[in-house]
Amino acid sequence: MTTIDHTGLHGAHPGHGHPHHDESYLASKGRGFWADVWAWATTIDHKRIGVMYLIATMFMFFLGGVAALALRFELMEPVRQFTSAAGETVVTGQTFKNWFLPNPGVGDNNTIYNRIFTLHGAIMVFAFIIPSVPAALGNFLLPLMIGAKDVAFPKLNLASWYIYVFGTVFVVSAIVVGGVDTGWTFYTPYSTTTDADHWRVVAMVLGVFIMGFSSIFTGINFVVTVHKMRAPGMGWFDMPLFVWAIYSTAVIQVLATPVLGITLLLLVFERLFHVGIFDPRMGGDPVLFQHFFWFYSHPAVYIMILPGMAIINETITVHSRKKIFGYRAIAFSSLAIAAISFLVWGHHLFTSQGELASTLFSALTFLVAIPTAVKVFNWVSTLYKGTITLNTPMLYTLFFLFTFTIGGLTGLPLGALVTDLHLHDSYFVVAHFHYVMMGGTVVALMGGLHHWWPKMFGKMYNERWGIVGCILVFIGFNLTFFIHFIIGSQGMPRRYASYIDYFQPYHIASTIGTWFMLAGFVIHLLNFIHSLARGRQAPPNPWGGLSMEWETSSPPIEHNFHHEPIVKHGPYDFDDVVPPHCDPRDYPLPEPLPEGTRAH
Amino acid sequence: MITLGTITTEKNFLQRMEEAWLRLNFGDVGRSTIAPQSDFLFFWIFLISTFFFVLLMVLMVYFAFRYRRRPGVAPERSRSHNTFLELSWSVIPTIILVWMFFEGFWGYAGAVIAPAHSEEIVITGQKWSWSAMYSNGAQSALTWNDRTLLKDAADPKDFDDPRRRRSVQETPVFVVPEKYPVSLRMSSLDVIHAFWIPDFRVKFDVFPNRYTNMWFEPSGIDPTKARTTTTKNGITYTYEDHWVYCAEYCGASHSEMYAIVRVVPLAQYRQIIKEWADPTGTPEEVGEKLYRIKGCNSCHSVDGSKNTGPSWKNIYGRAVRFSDGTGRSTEQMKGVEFANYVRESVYTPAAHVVETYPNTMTSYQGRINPKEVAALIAYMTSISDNKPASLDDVIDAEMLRQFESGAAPTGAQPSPAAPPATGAPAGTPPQVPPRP
Amino acid sequence: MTTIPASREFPRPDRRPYWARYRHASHFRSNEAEFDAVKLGMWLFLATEVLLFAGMFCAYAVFRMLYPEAWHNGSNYLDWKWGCFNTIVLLVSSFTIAMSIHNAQKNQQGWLKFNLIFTLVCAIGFVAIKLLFEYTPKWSGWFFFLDPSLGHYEHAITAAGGEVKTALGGLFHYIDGYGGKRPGSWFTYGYSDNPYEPIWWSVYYVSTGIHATHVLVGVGLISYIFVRAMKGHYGPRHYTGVEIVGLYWHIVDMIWIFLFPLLYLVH
Repeated sequence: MTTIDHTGLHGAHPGHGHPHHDESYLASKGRGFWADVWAWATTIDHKRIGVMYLIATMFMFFLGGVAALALRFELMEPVRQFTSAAGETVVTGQTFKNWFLPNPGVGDNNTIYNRIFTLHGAIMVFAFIIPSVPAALGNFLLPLMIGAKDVAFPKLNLASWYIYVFGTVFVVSAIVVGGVDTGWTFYTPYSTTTDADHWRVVAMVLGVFIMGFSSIFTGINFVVTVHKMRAPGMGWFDMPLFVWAIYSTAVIQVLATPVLGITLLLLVFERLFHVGIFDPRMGGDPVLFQHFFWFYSHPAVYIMILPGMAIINETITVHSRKKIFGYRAIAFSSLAIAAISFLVWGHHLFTSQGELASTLFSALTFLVAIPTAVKVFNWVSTLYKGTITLNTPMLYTLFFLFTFTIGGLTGLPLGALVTDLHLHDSYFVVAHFHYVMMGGTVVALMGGLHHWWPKMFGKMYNERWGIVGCILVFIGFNLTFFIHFIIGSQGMPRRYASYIDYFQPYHIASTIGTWFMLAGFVIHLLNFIHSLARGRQAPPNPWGGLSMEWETSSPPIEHNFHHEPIVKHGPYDFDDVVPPHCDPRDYPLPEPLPEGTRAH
Repeated sequence: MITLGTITTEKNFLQRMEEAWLRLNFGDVGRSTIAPQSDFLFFWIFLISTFFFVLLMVLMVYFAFRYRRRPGVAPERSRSHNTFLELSWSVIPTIILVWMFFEGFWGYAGAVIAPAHSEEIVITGQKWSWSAMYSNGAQSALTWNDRTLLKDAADPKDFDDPRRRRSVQETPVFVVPEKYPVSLRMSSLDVIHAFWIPDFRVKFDVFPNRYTNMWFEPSGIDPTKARTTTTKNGITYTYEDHWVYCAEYCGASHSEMYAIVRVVPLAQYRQIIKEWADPTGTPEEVGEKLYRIKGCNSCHSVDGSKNTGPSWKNIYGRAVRFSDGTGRSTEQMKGVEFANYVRESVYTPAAHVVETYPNTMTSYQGRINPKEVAALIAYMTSISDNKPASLDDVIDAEMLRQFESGAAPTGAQPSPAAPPATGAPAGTPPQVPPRP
Repeated sequence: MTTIPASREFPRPDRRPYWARYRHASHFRSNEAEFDAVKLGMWLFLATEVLLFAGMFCAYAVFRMLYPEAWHNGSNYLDWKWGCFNTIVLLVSSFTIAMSIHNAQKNQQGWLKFNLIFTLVCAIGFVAIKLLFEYTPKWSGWFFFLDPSLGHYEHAITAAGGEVKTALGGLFHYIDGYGGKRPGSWFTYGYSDNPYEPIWWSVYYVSTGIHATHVLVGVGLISYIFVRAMKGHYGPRHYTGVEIVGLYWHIVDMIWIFLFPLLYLVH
């Protein structure tokens, strides 16, 4: 059964080609359930792989989110231990421990807390944010947006997914057998000495190492796809900005991840064979580990945020029906961010490295603020004289601009040397990177998921509930994390299971914020499930987008396009083109330009 | 025309605003001489950021409302490129960022290079306690906790600071002189820690394989927060306390790794560290003190409760089993055999690890000298229910006589440049030994 | 009722060789586009390889700067003759695999197979030399077939009291005390006079070990294209496999070109 709308720019040509080529990529082959499962498990279709990535990363988001809720729950009480008048030790604030691990002797409250924050960090960073947007939405959209039938190496693409799942199995097994308390940064010598007689730290590190391969292969695939698979007539500056940002991300993935690979490999060797390279007792250097780790993990921060920016480029233009302001500035700022990201890792070491290095890295860190600021200014300017629809994707876009601007600006006192001496490793940092990673990437991902949901699954979601969810997440997010700025600058160090009484009211408010977020995300989940089960059939182009993915049906057919797509207009030419598959009455064009004038 | 007076008023207004904002955001203004630069820059970054944030958000909300989609309203054409605008929002932030970098750099340059005449204190971090050694070789002998309050103080008062923390574990208290530069030479015994004094706006990591330096000059004792106390030997001093946190994740009790920096007047500072340099008393008393200042208390309880390590309560005369299958009987945990066991546990803790406990203790070789071990043995023996009639059975008599003569157990690594008796700051900073 | 063209039902068997009838995967537009894409992908992969080893070179540089004596002493124990021989082995194999690409382009099927099998022998030879003549004596003091007294191991024999034993029916000779030059905590060599020598051996074993792993992966890849070359899959119009394995083999060679002087020639 096909669901093609034949009213668009490209008319249908029935009887041409093989009939099953016009089937939705989601459609069953009709040979039974297990045949379908096998077809999905062995698919080399980038869209199916994108959906498989989406499911896998969302499961990881769920795991990491549960851990986050647990952390916030623990922090509601400052865990007091004191000697009572009778002389015995009284410990309060043990609700958390009793709730999670009622068996005494497994570990004290702090150890459980440490394992859960490691779980939260490692899963959210390595198994969720890094693969989520590029591998899920990127896989689905990149070939569609550049008019290709698939990514350059479809089998490698499927292999990346399996490698990713294999890596998560390692990570999850490390958690199942008791968890790891190294922190997601695996700083030596703590990570090489903790739980010395157990294999779970090795399993966790190997899991991240394996996921690195998945990331590298996806990156190679995307770079080659963008270089070699663009539709005829699509020059570099005719590509949607989503593609530019994903391309920049892929370049970072290819160039940074191998360094993490060797670092984690050395860490594994350190634990298994005590090779001594990071072990101060044998003459090794723990600061070298930090340099190695952040040489990857700082660029990785941009692996996380650039795809978020990629989504915003699309949602903000489509839902304000407005040509993006400063296309080239945004495109080049993506590349500039990718390039500078390799030069700023040392700002994670302001309190551990020498003065000269810190000064240099501080200067370079301020450089990266410029392309980021340019992007934000361009996005806000794009709204000017637009035709703005305040639906869920657009609300999430405005939400992104709000939180990402805060996240970016609070990076400034962290990049300035003297203020960072105070703020380093405090809750201020926690707030800063959550405003960027969650307020940036996750918020953009939620917006993008709503934006492309009709395209991916061919069903509309309920707009009203989408907006309710978005507002709840907005309230909850800011309540949870804005407080962290305040307690951080007042002296609350990060990764603390217990704290002085003074901070308790702040922590309680922050925890309540997480419940708002939980409610928002649950509403989104139910909304999506409802959409799949009972949602209205989605038209091929529900929002009036101009990039190529909107030219095909919703959901796209197995080979993406009914015909070899040819670029006839830019992705943001809203002033001159009625979007494909759309009624011109719904999308009126502005007054034609007077004779002799030129569009900007 | 703007008069000088107007400008002054304006500056005062800004300064007042800055202070109010700092009190709101930090709880207080910075209490060290380098803090004003940090606070100044933070405040101005905050103002500039607020300006840009409000500008962007007002525009965003205005546009989203003004250009909302309305039926029957045709879209307008507008520019999608404006060189002047794009250049200005690239260049203006760049200029501001350059200013921020230099302000940060100047402050940092002042915050990392200690004046030559600084008072040097050696800070040692370990899982999960801090210890300090002063320029005369003295170690901090003062600890604090919520219940036992100020040990060593003649007049223990309740500590009703709202920023209190309640814990069985006693928090070490380090004294530093008021209005005098203090340079910390820091190293760690195990993993990476970080020494953070939020009130002073300074922090630096503490590594196991190198010395790192950090300095500050406490800007004075705030009279509204000042307290007065008296030591055993009758030194009365006013002080103000500041929290120290470990800011680099270091394991299970990372969040319990506190210390207190106590700012006292310079003259009293010298008297106090002189008093700490010669602790007198019986072996049990010295041992009790060492138990607290050497960090034993972070893992071993003395009330029988289970902690990271076995409790010292009744350890004398208690049969133990080790993780390698061997053990010691009740008799083997008495007398000289007990003393040897303790000695071995202090210097080579991994040799025999008590069953069910993790092998996490580091060797105290070079940090606790044999006489201090003797004092610890005496202390452990004294808190046992089946203690011997005389300590002579456990420690040899020669050692006990040394305690009676009042000879001080010296610090493990007396600073070579430290003047022996006065406790006055060293004229030249001691040479930092090369990397191990 | 549809009529299906007869050509679909009964396609004429195509008797051309595989390389001549090779058709690109359906999502590419031409064979050339596919070749270009695969080649670009391989170059990107090579970039990741360079960065992987860059980490080891960084560690090498840092610790050489910190502990120059350990590096001097450690490098002394490496036999530059074996290193040099292995360098020549790899250089020759790089030449032969480059020639095999040329052979494929010129449809010289015999030479293609010869050059591939020659490369394969060189690759296996490299690993065998590394394992038997370099790792084994240093790790355990056992010398494969070689009587150590014939080489320049006299100082070691003197240190061990002049005694050379044989084991496994004369397959190995060994000297007590010569072995034990192992990485990190496995280091047991008794005559070391620098406490940081274990770090040197860690860097040596990890970097050459990862390189040797790459050589072994290369052995697998070359075997695979050799089998396909035997079936006549490569020729002037389709030699992608030979080309990308050749690229991979060159990077493996290049990395050794850097490792050899940095490890063997620094004392």
